[in-house]
Amino acid sequence: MKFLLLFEWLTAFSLFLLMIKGETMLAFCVLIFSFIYLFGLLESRKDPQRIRAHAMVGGIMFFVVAALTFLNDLARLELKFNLSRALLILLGVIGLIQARAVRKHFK
Amino acid sequence: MTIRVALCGNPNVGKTSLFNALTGMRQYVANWPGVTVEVKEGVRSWRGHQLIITDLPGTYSLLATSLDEKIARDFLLYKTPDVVVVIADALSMEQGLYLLLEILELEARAILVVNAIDEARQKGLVIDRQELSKHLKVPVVLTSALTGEGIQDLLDCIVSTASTEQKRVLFNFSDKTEKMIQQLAALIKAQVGEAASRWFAIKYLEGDPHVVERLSQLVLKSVAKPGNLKSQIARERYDHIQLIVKESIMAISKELSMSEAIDHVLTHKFIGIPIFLALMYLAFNFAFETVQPLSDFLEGTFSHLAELTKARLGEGMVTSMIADGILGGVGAVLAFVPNIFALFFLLGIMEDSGYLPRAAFVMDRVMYSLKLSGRSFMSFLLGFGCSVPAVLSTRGIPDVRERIVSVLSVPFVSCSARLPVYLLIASIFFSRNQGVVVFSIYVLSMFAAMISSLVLNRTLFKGQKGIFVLELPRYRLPSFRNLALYTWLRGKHFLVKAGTIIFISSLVLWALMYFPDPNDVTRSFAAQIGKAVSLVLRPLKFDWRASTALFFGVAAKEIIVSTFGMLFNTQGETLTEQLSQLFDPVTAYSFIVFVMAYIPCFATLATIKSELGTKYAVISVIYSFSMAYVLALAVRMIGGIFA
Repeated sequence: MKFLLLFEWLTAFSLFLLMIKGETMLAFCVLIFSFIYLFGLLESRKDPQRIRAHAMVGGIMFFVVAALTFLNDLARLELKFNLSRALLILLGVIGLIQARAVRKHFK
Repeated sequence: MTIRVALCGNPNVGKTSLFNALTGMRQYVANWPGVTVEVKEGVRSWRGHQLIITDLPGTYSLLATSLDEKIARDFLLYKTPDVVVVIADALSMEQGLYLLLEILELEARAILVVNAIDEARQKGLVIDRQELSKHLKVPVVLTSALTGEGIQDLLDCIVSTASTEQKRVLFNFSDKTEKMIQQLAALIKAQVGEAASRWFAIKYLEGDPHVVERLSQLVLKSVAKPGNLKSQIARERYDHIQLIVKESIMAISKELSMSEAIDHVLTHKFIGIPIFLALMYLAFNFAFETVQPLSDFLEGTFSHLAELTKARLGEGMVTSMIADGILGGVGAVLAFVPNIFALFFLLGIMEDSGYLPRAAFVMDRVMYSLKLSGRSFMSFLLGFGCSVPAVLSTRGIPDVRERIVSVLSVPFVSCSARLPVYLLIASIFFSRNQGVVVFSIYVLSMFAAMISSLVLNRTLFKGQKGIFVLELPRYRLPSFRNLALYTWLRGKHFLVKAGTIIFISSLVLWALMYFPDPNDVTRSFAAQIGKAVSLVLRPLKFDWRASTALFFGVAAKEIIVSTFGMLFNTQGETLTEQLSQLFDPVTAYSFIVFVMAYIPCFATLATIKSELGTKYAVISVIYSFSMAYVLALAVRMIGGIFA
């Protein structure tokens, strides 16, 4: 789980760097949500429930930000196909899948 | 037969959901405590009986510490309903049972409803209804207001309980406490009658200020001092409740629940507040930018209709009234309906999912440094919708000082009525960063409310810091029905305003602009008013047109947009084109900052008056105007350096 969180945090941080110039506010949202993964990495291995909690909430947040960005592009009729959009969609999709998978571990 | 039923319980246990399920009404149900701050009534016919059902504000005990709790307590005490339905949450029953034990002291016919039974089952909880009933000696019904389970059983139970003889079901305290209660009750009996004397005796020992004051003429201090046994009584009751719960509910495992897991992240010490700000930005960005094409379409439609009217009807007073007054004025406001509905939709998701109380929780640290509590922050959050319910929600704040400070500060939080003004100005002067500019105003409005709290706390209302105790509701997937209802009820308020106050104001405004010279608006009555007001606002560089809009905007903030719609829609060019000549970007930003903070609308002022009195309504007008002036001037000066 921690390996996945590390991958997602690195991807999210790269996304932040890619977006910072063009879409500053959205980039800061991505940075804040990437901290969810980062703090998950800092959780003790002895408590996997808390690590999973970070994976689940981080996943939901990235899905939300990806969905809203896609809707925004759609509304403006400006569907962008660049690296930052691809990374955002990737994080959103992985986030949704992992949130659905991880939620089974909670009551 | 008519049966009067009172629904009571702790905040956020599902009273309003149950009320809706029992009566078929559609009161909005929120997933946070303190939503019901007044008594609501509904009627239901059942098996030949007429049930008059009253939904009371949530209360943790009958030791009323805040205004909404006092409303619930006084209703039970003085209106004496035939049946009291006490609702407890299946997942945290202890506090509900505590309230039930207190209500039983009033010798009321009570029913215990264990709500959210479906969620309890999902979490592996088994509740033994008969065991509970045996220990408490009252009927117990298991319900789920969400699925409708147990509602018919509850209606049957209400009818049967109302027709049975009233039984005295009392909780017996330890011998020492019981002896003291009985001694006091005997002394009190002469004044309040036998029925409630025991309840008054207990409340006296708990130190209830209302009861102590009422019994002040009786010589009771020889038996016990008021408040002498407050903690003892609570401890004895809770010990008893623990035993009942142990007997009636199967234990659950120690795994993290879904809510606990989400809370672990969303209320995190370091990232809790940034996550809240990021989510708010996303919500506002969706409402302002994603939905904007719909607003542009509506604006174009109204503009087109106005031109069509002029072309078909020709020049004249009636044409001007329809095209400039109604379509120009009301249309300019209605164009923002999609933004407002979208904002309410997303705020509804946050509220219904149970996230907003968490936001109050994470902000509590900040609020504490301002001598306020997270409870005030919840009122501030409600202010994003409308200041009127936000002011009303301060009833849940127990500390009078904190309540006054919150009421005076809530109007600074940007309500939805101000949104059309921000969007109009931002779309013209900051078209590339519209979302960021509007979001900055919302953040600034929250800061203004907090700064206001700090200023008031340091000057006029010095006192102790507020303590915040909040029971966090469980997270739940927002139900589409509740979400649609929330969006519609909040959005409808805007539509109703457009059809009434804004419509009438637009006609009045049109008349003031049309006369005495239809061809020269600068000589109109409205212009004369605006020119007089602009003398005060001149240092802010607001000319007579901006001053006119601000003057009439006191009635309702949307009128600022309709005033612009009429003032700038008379010379052929579009509103946007003409408005762009009115301000430079710095003045435009200081204008929206001024709108953000200046005088609350009439409806809010009326609410402040009814809640705190005329004095505070007047203080609110002067205070908010001064604050708006200072803020707008500061923006002008700082902006002037960078411009």
